[in-house]
Amino acid sequence: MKECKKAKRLLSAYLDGQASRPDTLFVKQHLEICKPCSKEYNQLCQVKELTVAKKHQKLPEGDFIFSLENEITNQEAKNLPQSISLGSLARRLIFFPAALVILFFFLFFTLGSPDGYVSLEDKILNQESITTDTAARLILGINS
Amino acid sequence: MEEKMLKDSFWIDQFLSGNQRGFTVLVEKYQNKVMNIVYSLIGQDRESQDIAQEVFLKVYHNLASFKKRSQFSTWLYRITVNATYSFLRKRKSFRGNDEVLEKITAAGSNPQEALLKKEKKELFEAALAKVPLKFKIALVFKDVEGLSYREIADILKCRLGTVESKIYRGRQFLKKEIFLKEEE
Repeated sequence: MKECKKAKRLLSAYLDGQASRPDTLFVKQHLEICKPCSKEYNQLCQVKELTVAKKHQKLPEGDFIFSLENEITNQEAKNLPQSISLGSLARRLIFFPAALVILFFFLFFTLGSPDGYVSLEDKILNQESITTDTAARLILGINS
Repeated sequence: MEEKMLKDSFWIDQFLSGNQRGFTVLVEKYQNKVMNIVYSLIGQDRESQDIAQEVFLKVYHNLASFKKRSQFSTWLYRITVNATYSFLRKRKSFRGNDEVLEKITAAGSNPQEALLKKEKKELFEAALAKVPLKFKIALVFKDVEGLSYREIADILKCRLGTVESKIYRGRQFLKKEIFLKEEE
């Protein structure tokens, strides 16, 4: 019984010719004297024959590669930059000048005014008389 | 020399250097093997074709990362197994090929006799569909594709003993499916 257990465990590898030399010898000798193990071995042989003879699936000649290449082309087209439409071109053209204007105002207000500089707003609040020349100087940032 | 006789590594290098023909030759060489493996595992023709396509798309996009430490076929089969698992995970309700499963159920009380008749291959496929996937993968690589235990261990990233055990258990499962009713 102990030998049968060992033989049954080795039958599959023996069938595939993958058992070690001592194991192969053991199984071979055991099968000659043990009917139940011999029966099991025959059944395993039939199972293997059926698996090997299993109908092989074949892809339609040429069709698979054709559809595969189409799929690759589609995927690559998706990854390419989109052709620039008029709308997106306009959006791009507007974006950069708008960004420059925003940057200008940001720098203008965050860097602060130089010492002694009086803004046009302050002049108006202090009710100072504003001439065209002063206004121009203030707008241009020339300290008066 | 015929194109298919050249080594896979030659065609991989061709493809990586910009020659698309390299990829086409690899697909032509392996498409039926991949299809056959996937079909043997899931038993569904249309889905098998989709999975086979997914496998080759992965190969196309990742061939540059293939290190050539193993054979190309080993790498390809590993992708095939992973794609099949991924497909089955997405379809948790998958229960094998229902059509052939119905045939084996309808075969009556003596499946061995039926196996010997006209429908024996179909009935066998139904029995194969019932084998748990973890055993069936090793069994398909061994008996359908004729790979060695070593090659299967490389594909499945497991030990030789594990491969031997999976094949053994897969065959035991098939044997029971085919011969059990006869013994009753």
